[in-house]
Amino acid sequence: MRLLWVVLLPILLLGATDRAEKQIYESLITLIYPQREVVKVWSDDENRRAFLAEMGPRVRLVERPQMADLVVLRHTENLQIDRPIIAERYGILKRYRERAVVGFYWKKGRPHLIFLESALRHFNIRLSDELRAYVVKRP
Amino acid sequence: MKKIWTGVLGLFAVSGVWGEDLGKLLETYRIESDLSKITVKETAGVVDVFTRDMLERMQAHTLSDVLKNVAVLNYSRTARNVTLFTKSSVGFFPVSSVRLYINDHDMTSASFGSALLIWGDMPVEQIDHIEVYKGASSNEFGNETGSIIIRLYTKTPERDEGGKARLMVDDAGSYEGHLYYAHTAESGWKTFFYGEKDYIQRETFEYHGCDVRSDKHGNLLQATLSRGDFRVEMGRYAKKNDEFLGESPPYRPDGGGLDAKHAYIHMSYRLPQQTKLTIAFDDLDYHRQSEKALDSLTLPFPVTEDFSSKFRDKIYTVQLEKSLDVGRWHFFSGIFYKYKSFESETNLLQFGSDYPVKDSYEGGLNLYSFYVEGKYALTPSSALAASLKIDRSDYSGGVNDYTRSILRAGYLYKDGTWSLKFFVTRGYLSVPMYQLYGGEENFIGANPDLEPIDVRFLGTADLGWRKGGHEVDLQVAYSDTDNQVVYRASQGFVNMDGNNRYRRAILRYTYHWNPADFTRISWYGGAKSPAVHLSPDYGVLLESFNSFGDIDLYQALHMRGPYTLGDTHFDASWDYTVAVKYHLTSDLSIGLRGENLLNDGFVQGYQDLDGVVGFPVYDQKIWLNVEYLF
Repeated sequence: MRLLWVVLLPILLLGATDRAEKQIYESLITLIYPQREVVKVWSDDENRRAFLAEMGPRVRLVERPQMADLVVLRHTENLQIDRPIIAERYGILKRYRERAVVGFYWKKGRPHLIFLESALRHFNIRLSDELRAYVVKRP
Repeated sequence: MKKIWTGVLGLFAVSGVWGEDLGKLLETYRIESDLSKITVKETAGVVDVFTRDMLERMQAHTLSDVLKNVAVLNYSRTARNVTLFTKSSVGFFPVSSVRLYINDHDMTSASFGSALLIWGDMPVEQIDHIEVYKGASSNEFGNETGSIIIRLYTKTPERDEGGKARLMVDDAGSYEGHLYYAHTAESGWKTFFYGEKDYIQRETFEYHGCDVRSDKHGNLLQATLSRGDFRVEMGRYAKKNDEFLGESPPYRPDGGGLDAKHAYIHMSYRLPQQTKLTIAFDDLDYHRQSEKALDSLTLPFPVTEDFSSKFRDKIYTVQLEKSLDVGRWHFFSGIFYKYKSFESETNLLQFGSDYPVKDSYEGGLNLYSFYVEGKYALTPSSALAASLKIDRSDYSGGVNDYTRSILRAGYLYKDGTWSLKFFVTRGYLSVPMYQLYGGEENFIGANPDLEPIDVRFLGTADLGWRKGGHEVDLQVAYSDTDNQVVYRASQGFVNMDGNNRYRRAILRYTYHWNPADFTRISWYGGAKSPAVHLSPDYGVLLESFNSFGDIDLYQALHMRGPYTLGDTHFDASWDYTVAVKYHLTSDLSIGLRGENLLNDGFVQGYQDLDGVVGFPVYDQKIWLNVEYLF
């Protein structure tokens, strides 16, 4: 309950809205695991964990990366685990180019979202024709 | 079977939401993720926010471009070419009532108690967003007191990996060059560097056979380095301004100007348990030269022919702050110590005399402060807030020491449709050091016995309503102050007996076309009791931010009402600004910004010996703007 207050109050009083961000993450999770009812997610960032915890029943936050179906990374640079990764920093994306399916990061003052071809192939993830425009061979 | 349906529906949803809409979704995300959502402190008062998106579409390049469109505050300039605020119906604000921060660093000078004298026309290309708090107390920011608080936040390496070059030229021959670079290294160091150089050519007026000039040369360097919990910021701004009308009447400018520099370094370290230690140092040079052409004058009293004043400030700051969350309570408290030293040297040559009179003097202030703010969440959508700040000011050199406190309480409410916040404050405004220390000759009329301005009551309220694309906002404020500091020719600076009451209101309607585009109209007015009419009583501001494909369009029409100064009537002014930007690629854009296009912008009146004379504050200009991200 206390956690709820801590999370809710700043959102309501600061007027923060994260609808688009939520929509993006929901779509990414659906894209990577279209058939899973519940996707277990781990993140190395405290703020992202709080965000994922609010995403609803389809996302279950786990304590360790080994327990996760999907890993969201912002800081960790040497994680040895064969899971799809959403990289939230450009440097992280370059480091995990074989497993980072998605790069979703800020650069030049605006958000970027790209898919890495090698990681998509590695995890056998298929994209619609419209999204093929966002696929790159290397970051 | 259920899994298959989930999968099919999921893919369908992805196609529907994404595809060609991904670009729009990312754009919405960019707007929703504006850093102001994190930095705005709602408990600090009624706030106007200029987001990064707004600044970019305005093609704003100086702080003046932004502050001139803050409703109810009128950004004007003094006879000595300093940009300061007036508010509806009254003259220039006490300088110490406006505080300006870049990130967490207070840019205020010790001599003048204001940052606007140097930073009022600073470049803003390195700035991510700007918050203007009206009717604030500063308790919530843990620094010195002020009633208008302008907070500027620089761009961050986290979001701005890469660099940007920006070049602007105008039809009068002015230019500005901006360059910044942001990077996060694999070692964890985050860096942001910014450099700027400008030459602003202003319109030259002829007055009594003299050229009235207000051109400006400036350059600014800023850097931020951080790693983990450690952060250091530094900057140096140097500028030279022409003198405009010059020192006190009679206005016969014959050269002179301002040569000012401000360098600062600000280090902070985040300790465990939401505790932050800050150490900062400021070094300011402020040299003003006024020269007059007086050959043709025959006056029965001596007037200044040549006046030179130098001020040198050094400010040392140590600050410790802590936040604490206990159940529904959020606490923020801190202590700081500042030492401000002040040196001045003044040279004065009176008309008809061959011998300049010199004076030099110095002063110092030990400022100790303790502050605490508590916020209690009544429900998930409402909260009570209260804060207390106690300041102890110990001056050297025969100036009266004092202890003052600021007490503030407020209520905040916000749901999906309605928002309300109101605050009541009891406090004070400090007296700038140049009004306290005068030396033996005391050319300036300083008074060591001056008392701080007593803010007996300051009440502000902001009621908002939003449904769909419609948004209505009503802001009202009432203040009652005592001990105002005024300048009298026979006495110098003195405290004025009697209360000053001031009330103001802003009514604003906004229509949001989509998450990024909106059109907004603001009506505002203010009145003082006893009544004065030293500036427009009311105004209307119409603004529109729109995008059409690769084209951004910003328009602002600011009408300020008529006013009469002395026997001179000034008609209503119409300041029309248009900025059009075309994005050739996602990294390259070219734009035009037209300022005061109707050439009917605000005219400031100045009292001269032979009556009131008016000069436009803003020139009619067209800027060409090229921006490249790399």
